[in-house]
Amino acid sequence: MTTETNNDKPCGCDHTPEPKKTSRRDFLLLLGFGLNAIAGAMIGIPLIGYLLSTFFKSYPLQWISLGPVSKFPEGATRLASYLNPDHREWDGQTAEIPCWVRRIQENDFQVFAINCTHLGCPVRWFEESKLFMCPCHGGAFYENGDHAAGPPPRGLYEYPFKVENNELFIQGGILPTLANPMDDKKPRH
Amino acid sequence: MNGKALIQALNGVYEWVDKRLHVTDLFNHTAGHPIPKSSASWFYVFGSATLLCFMIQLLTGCLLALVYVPSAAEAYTTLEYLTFRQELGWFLRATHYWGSNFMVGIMLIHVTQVFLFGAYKYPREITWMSGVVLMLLTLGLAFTGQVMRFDEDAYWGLGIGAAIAGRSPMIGQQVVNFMLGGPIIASETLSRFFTLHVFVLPGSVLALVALHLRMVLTKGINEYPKPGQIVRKETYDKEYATIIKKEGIPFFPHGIWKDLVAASIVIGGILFCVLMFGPKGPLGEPNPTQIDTVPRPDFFFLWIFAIAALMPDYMETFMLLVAPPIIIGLLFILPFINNTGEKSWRRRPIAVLSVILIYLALGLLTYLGQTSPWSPDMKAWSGAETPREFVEGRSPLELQGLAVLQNKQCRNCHAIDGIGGHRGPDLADVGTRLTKDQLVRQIIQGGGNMPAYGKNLSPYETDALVAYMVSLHPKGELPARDSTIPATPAPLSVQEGEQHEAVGAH
Amino acid sequence: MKIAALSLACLSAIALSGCDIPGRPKKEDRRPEPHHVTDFKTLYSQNCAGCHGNGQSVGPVIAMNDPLYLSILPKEQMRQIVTNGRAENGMPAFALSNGGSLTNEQIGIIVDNIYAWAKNPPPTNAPAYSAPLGDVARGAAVFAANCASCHGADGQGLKDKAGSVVNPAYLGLVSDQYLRTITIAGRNDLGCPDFASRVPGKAMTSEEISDVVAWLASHRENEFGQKLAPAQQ
Repeated sequence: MTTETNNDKPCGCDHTPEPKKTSRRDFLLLLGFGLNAIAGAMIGIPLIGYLLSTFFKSYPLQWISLGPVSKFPEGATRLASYLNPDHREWDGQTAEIPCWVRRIQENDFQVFAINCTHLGCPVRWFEESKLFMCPCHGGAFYENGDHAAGPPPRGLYEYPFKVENNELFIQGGILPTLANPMDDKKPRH
Repeated sequence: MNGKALIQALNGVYEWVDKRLHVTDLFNHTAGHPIPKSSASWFYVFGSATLLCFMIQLLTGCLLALVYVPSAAEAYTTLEYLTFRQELGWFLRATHYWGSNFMVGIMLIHVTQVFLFGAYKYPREITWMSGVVLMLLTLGLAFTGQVMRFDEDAYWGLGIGAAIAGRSPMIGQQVVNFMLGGPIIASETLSRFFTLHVFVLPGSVLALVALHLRMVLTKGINEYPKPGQIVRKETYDKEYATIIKKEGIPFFPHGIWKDLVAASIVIGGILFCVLMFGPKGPLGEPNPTQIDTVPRPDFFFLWIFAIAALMPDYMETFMLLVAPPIIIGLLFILPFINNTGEKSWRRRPIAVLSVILIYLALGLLTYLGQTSPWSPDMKAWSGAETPREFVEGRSPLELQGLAVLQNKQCRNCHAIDGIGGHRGPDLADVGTRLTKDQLVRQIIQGGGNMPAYGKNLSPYETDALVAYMVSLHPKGELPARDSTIPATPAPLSVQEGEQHEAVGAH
Repeated sequence: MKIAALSLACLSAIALSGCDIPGRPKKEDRRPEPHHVTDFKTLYSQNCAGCHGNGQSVGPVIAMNDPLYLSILPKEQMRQIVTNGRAENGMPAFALSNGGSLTNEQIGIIVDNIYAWAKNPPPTNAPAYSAPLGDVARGAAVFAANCASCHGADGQGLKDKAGSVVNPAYLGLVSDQYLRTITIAGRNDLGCPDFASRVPGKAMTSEEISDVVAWLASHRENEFGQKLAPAQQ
């Protein structure tokens, strides 16, 4: 805005105003803006790239061992946990991710994420009533992860699993949400 | 050196400085700016009180940052250190916690007062809009501040945030990853919330406060509205200038003393809460495998927690993702929807009514969020006792039924005489509401937000459970009966009460 | 000014003394991790009181402060019961290793403190906690002598006295050991006398109890109403 007022003042130099469309001064001003725009972009684009790196990165599921299958009694559902494969050294306790392992029989498993499908609170297993209950808004799920009651829009998130050499592996490493549920169960509605 | 000479010397120094720094000029344009006499009112202290709270937060925040380490591995340890070992660390934590509560609360009063006094109307649109953004930033600070207290509530609160973000269409996963700084809640999540809480949001608040105050100076503080004084674009500026000319007083010292008194009351209030109630938490360690936890948000977000529980699930995504931007957008453009006209709340019944409704709704939702009757009580099945009158006089089978009721976690959702979870109906008088057949059907098939227990109860367990529940009716009240089966006539008053319940058993 | 002075005074008071400020967090108020809770009262009221009552309140199953019960059940056995549960009676397993929520240390604290309720010296002549089933026919006579006055001659219960003890659903939910335990200890908290006071001056012997349990067990049916031989239990 100062340039405008300067233009009105008589100029000290010998340059007389010409009817030309672009004066040298205007050109230099544009050049100044242009150079700064380029320099700004050169610095700014990497900054934005750094900021948004997690937005554009995809995090494929990874195979993680949950230990020998003998850890899980048949017909029971037990809490297990695994080390986040993508953890940092300064993650502390948060690197340890829990999940519910249901061993139906032999090598037939269901491994559920701890997070309620409603808003992500940790569901708790009740052996006697064979229900998972959520302490936040009262969602409940049956033994096989199906929706039983309450606001959750679908059954529990289920990790893909495999058994190799009597060791249970699951494919995980993400926080499951409705956007990335890991399985292909359909919502209730 | 005598006094006169000293004053002369000091005056000289002042003039020298003023010639270079233009302090007098600055003062006249800021603290000394004229305000309408009517605006030197007790209703006008809330803005400065909010700012005062923010200053307290800046100060205590800086001091807490001397010790706090924003790393998932260390944050909890440093919180415990601050609370229990660092001299006056608890005092700092408590002041920061209560300061935030006071800030949000006083800010809400400020917004309400501005709204009711019509101060958002011409020509103070930008003042209002910057205020709306300030309100959002303050709520953002309150939410990110919860995460700084990196305990189990903070951890699962982040999970809830991610679950909400994951509901956004198309780019849900990207938004979750961006919010968490990775695919899972971890140290980088804490770091980015720290950055927001400590750098980005307070910086933005400072910038916007500058704009907000600048608008107060350029367009003047709102005059105390009188009923019948209509704002018109063509005449308002002149009218305001007349008011200032006729009855304008300098803000300093004639207006500011009320703000100063209010400020000391606010500080006293914070101090009182600090000394009486102390800091909040930290609760349990942020250990995800420790799932024996009942995550709850801080006070000011309890109403959102309640909405998430009470919404029918098909409108939930809409309520969580679409409604807030619409509401905020409406607030933001309010000065353009309603730019002129009456300012006084006495002539604006719709404005008053909407304020009352909004606060009633928020109050009710907060109350519900506090009591959260929709949450199962996870320890009730093994811990909730049964009042003597619901145990005594029962047959062995009925007692086994009560044992089944406990063992099968029914008490997590169903209270007996108020003891137990409150998600489902209290069972103290269930025998007067449902017949034996209806009870069997409800237990086996579930329904009405109750899981089906068919697979998990043996026939004997069902028999025992139902036998016990049939026995649950207050003395003198008859058990429910099937209206399709003729029964011996009961007293009229009792019959009426049970008629509507005892239908559709077959 | 007064307020400012007051605050100043308060502040200096805090700085100078470690005195009792209600808001000042105390180390002992820190909530322990659930697996590190060692307070018996908390543990008992969260895990046991629902079914066993808390001493004042009564529950559906036997009270843990019943001195007779504590005198016949060895402590080690109670530890086993809490750890592994008793599936046949519906008692859940509480040990973490069995899918419960308590560490072995916590179970130890609960059991130790329950036995602190035991009367010293323990009641004498109490029958053995467990014994094999006795004779059904003799059991019928024992029942008639000791139990029929409340539960009816056929065990079907008497109105306004006590309910049926031969109901197949009831018998299907409790084990023989459960029947034996409750025959010995009764439910003093609910008005059912123990082995010594059913007939004044004539305590039931261990054999009589075995017999009456056998008689009760002989009433077991499967869910189709067919009688079950005791061996099938």
